Order: sequence, then C-alpha cells, then structure tokens
Amino acid sequence: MTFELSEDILEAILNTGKETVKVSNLEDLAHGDTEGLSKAVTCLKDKGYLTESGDGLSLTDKGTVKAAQVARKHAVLTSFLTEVLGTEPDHASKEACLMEHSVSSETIERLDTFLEKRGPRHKTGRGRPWGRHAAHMEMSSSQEHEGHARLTKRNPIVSLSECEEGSLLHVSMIRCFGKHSRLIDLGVIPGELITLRRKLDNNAVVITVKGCDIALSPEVAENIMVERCNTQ
Amino acid sequence: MMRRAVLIGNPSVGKSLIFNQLTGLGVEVSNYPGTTVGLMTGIVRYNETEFSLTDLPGIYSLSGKSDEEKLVREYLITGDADLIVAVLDAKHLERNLYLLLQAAEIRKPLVIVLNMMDDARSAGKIIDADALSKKFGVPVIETIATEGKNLEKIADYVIGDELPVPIIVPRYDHHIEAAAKSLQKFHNLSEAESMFALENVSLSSLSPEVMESAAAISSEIEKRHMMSPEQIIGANRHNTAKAISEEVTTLSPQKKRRDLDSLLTRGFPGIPILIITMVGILAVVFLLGGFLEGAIISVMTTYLLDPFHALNLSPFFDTVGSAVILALMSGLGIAFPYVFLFYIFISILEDTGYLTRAAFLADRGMHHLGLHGQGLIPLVLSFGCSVPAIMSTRFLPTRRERVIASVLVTMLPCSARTVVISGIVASFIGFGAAFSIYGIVFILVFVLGCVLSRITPGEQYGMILEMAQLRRPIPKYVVRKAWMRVSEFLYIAMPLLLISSVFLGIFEYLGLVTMFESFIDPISTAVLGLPGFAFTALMFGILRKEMAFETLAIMGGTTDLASILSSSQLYIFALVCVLFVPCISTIAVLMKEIGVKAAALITVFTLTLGISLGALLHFVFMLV
Repeated sequence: MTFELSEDILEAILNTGKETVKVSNLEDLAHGDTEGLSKAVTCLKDKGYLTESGDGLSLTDKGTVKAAQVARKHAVLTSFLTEVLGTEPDHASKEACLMEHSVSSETIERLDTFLEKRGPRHKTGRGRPWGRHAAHMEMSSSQEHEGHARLTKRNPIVSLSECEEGSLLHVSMIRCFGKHSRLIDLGVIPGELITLRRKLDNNAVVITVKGCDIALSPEVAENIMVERCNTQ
Repeated sequence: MMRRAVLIGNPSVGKSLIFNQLTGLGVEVSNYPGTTVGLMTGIVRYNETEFSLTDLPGIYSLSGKSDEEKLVREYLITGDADLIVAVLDAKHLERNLYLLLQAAEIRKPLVIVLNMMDDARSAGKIIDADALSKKFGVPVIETIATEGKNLEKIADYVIGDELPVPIIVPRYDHHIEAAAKSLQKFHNLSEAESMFALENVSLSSLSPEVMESAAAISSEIEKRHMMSPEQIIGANRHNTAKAISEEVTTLSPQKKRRDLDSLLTRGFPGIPILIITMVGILAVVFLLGGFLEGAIISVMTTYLLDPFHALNLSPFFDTVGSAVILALMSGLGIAFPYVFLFYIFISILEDTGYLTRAAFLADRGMHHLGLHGQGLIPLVLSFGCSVPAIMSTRFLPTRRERVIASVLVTMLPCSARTVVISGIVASFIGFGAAFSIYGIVFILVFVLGCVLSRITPGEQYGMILEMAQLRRPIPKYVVRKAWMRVSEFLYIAMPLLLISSVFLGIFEYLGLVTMFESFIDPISTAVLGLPGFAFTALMFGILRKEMAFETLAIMGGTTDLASILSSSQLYIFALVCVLFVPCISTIAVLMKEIGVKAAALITVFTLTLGISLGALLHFVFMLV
C-alpha cells in the first residue's frame, strides 16, 4: 500500500507542473488515510526523492526521474487499454493507475514497441527516427489523432519552443541533426528527460539536462521535438 | 626522457586551474600546427623529477568538428603523451563521463581526476571513487582545485612507475560492435579509430579507403536503424555513462539553494542588470584606465624619455632611441590600464558564471549582426580597446563568427579614438558634431554587420552554450588570469610596435617623413582637403590612435587646432582617423587570431573605407 501510495505521490506532484506542492493537496490520494500519507512522505524524503521546504514538497532530480517513469507507465498502459482493447478513456486511466505500480519496466518497453509496430496510423513517436522526413510524418500522424481521444491519450509531439517554462519534457527527436551534433555531446538525445528552465519572448531557452543548465538559440530550440511528461 | 602528461576535460571543470597550480607561471603558449588554437605547456618539478604538462582546450566530445575537438582528437591518438589526465566535474559526473568513456577507448595510460568534490558534496552527491576506479581500471584522484587539495597526487601518478591503461568497454549496439570489429580486423585499426571511422570523423591516421568502407557500413546501419551510427554511438555512450554514474553516486537530500537565475536570466530584470553591468565596467575602465595611462606616460616621459634626450647622443641614436621609448610607452600604456583592467573585469564575469547569462540574454540582438550571444563580449570590450576585444573573439564557436566580430571590433571607436573625437571635434566644433561621428560609425557597423552576416562563408550554428555554475570568484585566480592575458598581449604586440617604431625613427632621421609630407600634400589636399602635415599625423595614428591628435598639434606647432585647420577639415580628420587602419597592436592581434590574410583584408578595407568616406565628405563640404 505504502509503495503504491509513494509512486502516486511522486506522479501527482509531477502532474501539477509546479515546483512545490502542499501536503494537504495530496490527501485525496490516500483516501482519508492521513497517517499513511505522512508516513509515505517521510519515507520518500528519507530515500531522497522529495525535499520539504516552507512552501511544501518538491521533487529532487531523482524523484523527478522516478515520477516520470511512473507517468510513462501510466501513459503506455492507457494507450494500450484504449487503442488495443477499446476501453473507455476514463476507465482506462483508472485501471492504468492500479496497474502502473506492479508492471515491470520490461513489460512496458515491450508494450510500447508493440503499440508502435501496429502500423503507421498508431505511431506516436517515442524512440522514433530523427530524420526530417520522419519528423513530418509523425507530426501529421499525431495531429491526425488529436480529434480521436479513443485512439491515443499520448501528448502530441511539439517543438521545444512551444512549451512553457518549468515543464518536464521527454525528448522525442532532433530535426536537422547534422547542424546540432553538439546536442548529443551535452546529452540531449531522444529518450532523455529535460526541464525547460527559462524561456524568453524570442523563444531562446535554458534547459536542464543531466543536471547542467544549457542555453539554446531559438533556431536550435525549434528543432528539438519533445513530448510533455504528464498524464491527464 | 621527460614524461609528458596532458589534461583533458569538459569546459570549466577546473582544468586550467589545476594546470596553473601545478606549473606556476613559467608557461609557454604555442600554436598547434595549422590551427589558431593555443596550447599551453609547462614544466612541473616535483620530487626532484621533471615532467611536462599540456593543457588541451575544454571540449564535450572527441567526435566534433570544431578546431578544438579536432586538435584534442589528433593529439590523443597520434601525440606522444605518456599519460592522459582526465579532469571531471564531480557534481556533473554523468555528463562528464561521456568524454571520459571516449578518452578511455583510446587505451592510453590515464588517470581520472574528480574535481570540485566540495561542490558535489554540497549538492548532496556522494561519489564512491573506489567503485569508479574499479569500473575504469585506473586510479581516481579526488581533488578540490580551488583549495589546491590533492593536486600533488596527480604529479605522483605522472612520475610513478605504473601507467595504468583503462579497461572499460562501453556497451554498443550489436550492429555497431560488429561493424567496429570488422573495421579493426580488415584495416588494422584500434578500437577508438574504428569508432571514429563509423562516426564519420576525420583523423589523420585514417586513410580515405578506410573512411570509404566505414561509410558503406554506416549507411547500411543507418538504413536498418533509421538513425545514423553517430547518433547510436552517442546514445550508447550516454547510457553507459548514466549507468556508471548511478552506480557510483549516492544522493542525499540537498539543501535548497537560492536561485539567482530567476533574476539574471529573465528579460526583466535581467536585461537592465546586463546593461548596467556592461556600461558600469566600461565607465570604470575608461575613467580609471585613462587616468592610469596618463600616469604611466608621464612617469615614463619624466624618468625615461627626458633623461634619454639629456644624454645628447648623436642625432641618429637620439631619434631611433626615442622611437623605441615611445613604442614601449604605447605598449605599456595600453597593456596595463586597458587590457589588464578589462581582463580583471572579464575574469570576474567569467569566474562568477555571469558571462554565460549575459550571452543568453544578448543572443537576440546579436542575431542582426550575424553573431550569437557570445559575440556581446568582444563588442563591449571594443569600446575600451580593440586588442582585448579581438583576443576575446576566441571564445566564439565558429571561425565565421570570429571573423565578423573582429571586423566589427576594429570599426567600433575604442577609448583612444574617443580621445581623438573628444579632443578634436567636441572641443573645437561642438558636441553635436562629436555625436554625429559616433552616429556615422554605429550606422556603418550595423550595415556592415548585416552585410557580413550574409556574405561571410562558413556555416551558421545556433547557440548551444552551457551555463556555468554561479560562484564566488577567487581574487588570486582572477588577477592571475588577467595577468596571463596581459603578458600574452605584450608578447604579441610589443615586437611589432618596436620594429615599426624603429623604422619610423629611421625614416624621420633620414628626412623621409618630410619627403613623404611634400609628396602626399597635393594628393591629400585634392582628395581629403587636408594639408600634408595633417595626413602625416594620421599616419602616426597607426602607431597609437591618439598619437594622430598629438602629432597634429606638434606638426601644426600649436594646440589651438582651430587656428590651423577649418571646422570641416577637423571633422574630416577625426572621421578618417577613427575609421581608417586599426593601430599596430590591433593588427598584430588580428594576425594572431584570424590569420595574416584576413588581417590584411580588414586593414585594406578600413583604409579604403576611411579614405573614401573622408573624400566623400570633402566633396559634400565643397558643394555646400
């Protein structure tokens, strides 16, 4: 119980998209069991997933990674339930909430590959090729799906310049790769989790990758395609 | 035989600090053949043994295309280093491991230096150095370079009996591994060479045939994976780095730190802070620099030049000797007040990490001029003195940007040119006229920037810049860094200044200057409307810009310039002086930084621009 609750807490904090969250806002997760909640929070702090300050709880880097893993499991399971089994989206999301705690990472990877192999209509872009052509293909396919809540609950792939300050993002691909090979050196590769620290009004950005802050020109930022890391 | 060690690592991991502490100040700066990248080599004496230590430029990867990356790659593969000292920032271990994995693959003796252990600890990261050492099969030294802690252990390993070779093998995709194996077998390559070949990275030891067959295999792999081998290998290395870093690092809850970046990198108040900082530095250097320069010149005049004249040597030696003293005065008069002060400030900005924030904010404005955020620094510096400004262009990532910035820097009015403008135009014509000269120069710089950004060859890359950690600068290192740059300036500019002054002195002695004056007089009067002596004064301005002003007064025989030249003549004189030909020191630095050809082109261009604009103005004034 505590284990599932812990994962739910991390996921919930990530989903708010805020730096800090008050403990009182998490009470729904524990279904009234406030003692269990505070026990779980203490445990998470001990393990270095959370830190507590005056304004509430916030995720550490380690906690963010863990939370994103849980969120990803949730997203993949929801897709599987809606796309393959035809479950109603709301129900699928609830089911996924229960399953996400016990499913292994390997199963999730296999499920993800399975979903991707089901044909071009269901491509969602995770771990996809980075070429320009592929980028266009995926953009159009994800746009095609936007009206079909039943088909996918994944977040659309957008360019880094379209995201908001403070969001946690999953790098999907890099367009015009040859021009930006330095990005690989700095660790901006597909599959990497990055945080958008700062965005100026001309779309110049600062991102955090592997604990380092990196400033990017607008023309570089628009070539980095990302997926927002949150679930509905 | 003296052992040779090289330092490699990411930018700003404290490599140079380690280098400086181990070698002291007796450092030789040399250019690696075929590049303009400076290599620093010093001799370390430790326990009665000597070894040489070379500081290679900071890079993120060995596979890149920049000059620095090429240099380090060649140096490690083909160079004769006995030991690679890989410096890592412990706080950002995972990112730093990427380069280390690449360096380890070369299979040359290596030791790992985990620097900034104090920072890592305060960030809540505890690193198990023994576990890391076992993984790589080489020793790991934990250091805190700012405190000089454990640096002597590096020296112990360099002169030690054992030179350990790393054993780690990153896990690559099996297609990549198979391809690398077959390349190694058929072309007799090392592991590292086969990887470079697959990544399509040039290396002098790889023949065109090898590159061709690697390219064939690469395209096969690319078809299968829909991803180029370069990207696959990069991702594989990152995964290995991540796994190692997670294995050896223990996270503990960290203290919440104050986030100054919320002030520094936002449009507001970031941009006002940036403007205040830059204008403030400029003002301080300008005022303090002007004062110091005056002091140095007057002290040297009283204690060197006047006593020298008093020796009553033969006219030849007197002329040549005073020319040499004048050159010394110009060199030192620029070096200490301007170059040194500027570098003190720049080193502070650099060491605090503010410079990268400034570059981020300035990126947008710089785009119009064909530059990126980093280009702000040379342009701001150029208002003080072109010399440090051009030296600072080496922080720019591409040659294209370095060339554009150098051209713009030579055009912008430095403090010496401001002396000319204020001394001639503002005092004899008026403030409006003085500002109009600034106006003309700024318009020219802007137009030139727009044009250059279109015509300069070379690929345009966006800015990808790591934000340095914000930290408190250590005065000792700030001064030392500034000092090293001043000595570099003296080393570059002094010989040229001395030689050209001696020649000028000889010309003056032989009466060539008067001959030149009578020869140039008709041309100068026709084209610029200036008498011959004014043009000669302009020529002296090449030595040091404000000398044009001083020489004009000497040659005219009066300090009341309005009595010898009309307002329009003074205006033309100032404008031509500001625009045409950078001073000798600037030309010297241009040659060093962007090559003789480009320096010559810039000189000819500014000469033509200055003269033709002066001629145009003369023509317009005649019509009015």
